[in-house]
Amino acid sequence: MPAAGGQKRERWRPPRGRHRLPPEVIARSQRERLLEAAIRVVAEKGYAATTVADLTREAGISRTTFYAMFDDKEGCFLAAYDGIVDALVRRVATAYESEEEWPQRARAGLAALLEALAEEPDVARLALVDVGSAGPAAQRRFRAAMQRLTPFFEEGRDFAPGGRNLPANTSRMAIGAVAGVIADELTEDRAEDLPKLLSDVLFATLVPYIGPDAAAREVGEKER
Amino acid sequence: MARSCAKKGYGATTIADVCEGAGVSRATFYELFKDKEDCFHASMEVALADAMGRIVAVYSPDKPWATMVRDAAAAFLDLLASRPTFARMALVEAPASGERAFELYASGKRVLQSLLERGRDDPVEEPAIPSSAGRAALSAAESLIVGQILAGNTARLRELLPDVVYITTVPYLGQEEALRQARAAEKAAVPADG
Repeated sequence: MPAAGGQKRERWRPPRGRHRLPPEVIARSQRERLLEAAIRVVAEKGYAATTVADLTREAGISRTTFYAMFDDKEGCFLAAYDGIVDALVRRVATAYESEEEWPQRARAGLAALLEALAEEPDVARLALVDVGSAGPAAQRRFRAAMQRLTPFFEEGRDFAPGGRNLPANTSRMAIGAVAGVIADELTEDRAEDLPKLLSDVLFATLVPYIGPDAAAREVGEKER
Repeated sequence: MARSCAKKGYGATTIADVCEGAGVSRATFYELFKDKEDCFHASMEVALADAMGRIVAVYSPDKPWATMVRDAAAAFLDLLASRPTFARMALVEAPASGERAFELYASGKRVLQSLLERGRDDPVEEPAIPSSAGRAALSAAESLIVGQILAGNTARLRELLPDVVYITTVPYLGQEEALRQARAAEKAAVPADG
């Protein structure tokens, strides 16, 4: 295992001492640094073992500054988590909207999701696996994050011929299937292989809406 | 242990909480268990073995596959609904409470998966569905169930039966038949408990 500081990326910091940057710029930079630090530290040590001192050290800020921004470790972690989810949802949405028909939109969105998670295995684990161990508030945040993907799935109902007859919970279940397949891979420490799961998660997304035959056809369509 | 986890989550549960809840001394605790994880593991192991026994009991080679899936799903949902602390421990806490607990959770899931995948032995014509289809369908059902547990609706889990039947059978039976099975599940009588 590499030393904790080994992979530390250099990031911009306001110069120490007296300077003329407006206070809100300093505050924003400190907040961003802290949220990035929270992701790195929790990914490395696990949520339970992470302390506020770890976070302030990694971010290079004082305890006073920390407590001016957050009440506790949980508040900071949740803010960091929200940032991860926002970025993921934006990326999925952009890819999704680049296509026309729902199955292709779903394919593009899922491919973007898998790529984003494969690029940052630590973030991926944190977002989908470790979040469960960070307490009830974090678990609710995870559920809320999954809900944000609902519109991308629910379009399948309009696309499917018998969409109106499908269970009301169809999108929740399809999202759960995708998250489960991805989490299984992350648990096995195979984050870099996530893009290979595209046909699995695409099938899981399509099958409740259009059935196994049509789903298998769509999955096979662009496969090389 | 299970009660305290249900209330505070595994991470925030202390040995003092467990002792207080069980009305035993710290000394007694340490005679029985090495640490908190050991205690969680033991309580999970007992509950899980019981749960799996009840689900596997519905399996019979004479039943059509879809009926078997429905009965197993009903038994599972009823079990969770009647034991909210176990439900929370098994599906919310165990997957996130250390390696040993996760392994137990994963083994329970594998049992359910192998039960479900017996559907693939049916001589019906099957489209080229991925090998992950059963696992994905189980995760779908699990996610729905966990959502209800976290929302405080554990007692009403049985209402999810039609949805669980639909999502677990649709990859194998197709939409029309899976919807028919889901509607049948809506009417299915509540099996006697225990």
